[in-house]
Amino acid sequence: MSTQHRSRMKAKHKMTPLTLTKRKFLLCWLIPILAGFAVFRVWPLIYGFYISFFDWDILSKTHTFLGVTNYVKELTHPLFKVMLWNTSYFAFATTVLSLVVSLVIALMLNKTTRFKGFFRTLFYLPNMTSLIAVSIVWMWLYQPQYGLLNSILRQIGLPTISWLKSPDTAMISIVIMSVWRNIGFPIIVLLAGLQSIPQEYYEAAKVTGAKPSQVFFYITLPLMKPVILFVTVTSLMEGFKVFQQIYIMTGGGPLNSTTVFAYRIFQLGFAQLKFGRAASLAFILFGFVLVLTIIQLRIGRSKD
Amino acid sequence: MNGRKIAIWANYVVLGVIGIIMAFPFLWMIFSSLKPAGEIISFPPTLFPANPTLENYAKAVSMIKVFRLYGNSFFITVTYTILTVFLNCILGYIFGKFNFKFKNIIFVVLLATLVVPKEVYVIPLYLLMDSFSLIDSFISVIIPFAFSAYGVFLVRQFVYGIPDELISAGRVDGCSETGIFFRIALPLMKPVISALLIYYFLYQWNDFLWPLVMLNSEKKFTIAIGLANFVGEHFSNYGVSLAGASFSILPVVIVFLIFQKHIISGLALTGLKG
Repeated sequence: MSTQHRSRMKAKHKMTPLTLTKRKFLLCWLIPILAGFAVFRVWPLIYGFYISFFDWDILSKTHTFLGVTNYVKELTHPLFKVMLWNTSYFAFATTVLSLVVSLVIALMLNKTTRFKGFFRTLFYLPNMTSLIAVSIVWMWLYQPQYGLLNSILRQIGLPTISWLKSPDTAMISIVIMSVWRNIGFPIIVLLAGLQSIPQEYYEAAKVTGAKPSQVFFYITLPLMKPVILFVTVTSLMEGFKVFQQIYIMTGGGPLNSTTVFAYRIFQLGFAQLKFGRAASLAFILFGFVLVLTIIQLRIGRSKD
Repeated sequence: MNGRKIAIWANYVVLGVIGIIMAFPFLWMIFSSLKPAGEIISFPPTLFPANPTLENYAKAVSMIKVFRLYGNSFFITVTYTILTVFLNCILGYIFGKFNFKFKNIIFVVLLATLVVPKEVYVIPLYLLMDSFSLIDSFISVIIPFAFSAYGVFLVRQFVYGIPDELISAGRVDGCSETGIFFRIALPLMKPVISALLIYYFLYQWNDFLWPLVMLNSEKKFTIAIGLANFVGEHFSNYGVSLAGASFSILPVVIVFLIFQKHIISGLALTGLKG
């Protein structure tokens, strides 16, 4: 759309007054839907924040005001540092690995002429399947006695790895599985981004005799910045919220080596029924994610 | 030109290897699920089942009640998808074509809800549903998160591209505003609609935390939760666990294979505009 056309359309927008029929339409649809958002998306935030300052016992329906005790107790809890480390480790490891691997694959796919669709589908398949199924498959691969990975190691004569059963290897095992599952989406998005780079840039580079590495770092990468930023931000945000794999594959163990924020929130709320505490941890998590996202967006903007 | 040809071939080969690595866990899952209990834990492990059997799948159906779980998941997912996409579309249409007081503030608030992690919502929403006595009901699983602002931005962008003349023409012809939305705007929004349908369908089919929190009766469990519970106790029944996993993956693969092009273009759309 040309800028002329766009400004003409915007002008038209501003000139149309709210007629009676339009008001009726908005009343009929907009108001109820916004009411729904208010009830289910805005009110819970306020309510949740309110709860986090109480000892919210839902069985006896007694609510004791605690001030910031919940927050303090969670932040000073011995598990807090562990959770912070585990969650950050997971989020950053999966984000960096996913980004690198999917960028490499997207670059390779960009060079292909045939089978592009086939490969894209293939690589995206794990991403679409339910995490529970993926978790089961990888629990099976990681099984110490009968799993495929250890069986292969045994056949080659190498020592077996405890994968999910040892505190040292549990988290990285989950990271590997998550990277395998996640790269499909970045590949598609990065590939779309690569394909939107006009050929003229590359041809101009060829004319000036630039080396492939120079082309990559000075042309491709800068033009891909917004897409890469998008992939990184979303991946990191999702990484901090990781829950399902932990719940199914390790239950937070062994020895809390895979306990992450979301898992503890679930435990506090629905296993220990400490709703107030769970709410406070949820908001702490929210704070982290928010700060992280803002930092990332700032970094992304400053590189211009 | 030979160096170039080799490079191109090497590209395909590496991609092929990666492709095999990506596909292998699923292939392994299917092959293992077709092996009888004895063979599945044999060493050295066999690749293809020596004595393929469907007993694991039969047991999955009876032990995990796969078909009932399917039914629950389908009902919840389809209802959720249609509802959410509809809400997104009409909201995006309104924000794209109408002007009203506080419009921009409201839009920002809507987008802000996207930043908040689900975990923050789960506790208060659970209590809210409890006060309506809606714990353990499909409604409570579907409704709250149907109010998702995710697609509203996309729809609004798309709606900007719909010429105002078409809409005014509808008014001139005496069509009601609601009629204009359903008969003129909505048909034009097909690309966005299909992208969102697929996105929300996959999202809800795979959703775990909220149904886990909301549903208590076994007969209402979704396939994700039913499988998780089964595996929590009976994972050592490897064949059945893997057969169950295969069951849960099957519908998604079928949907994907049918709607491939739409899915991929829809994803690229969200990624590039995001």
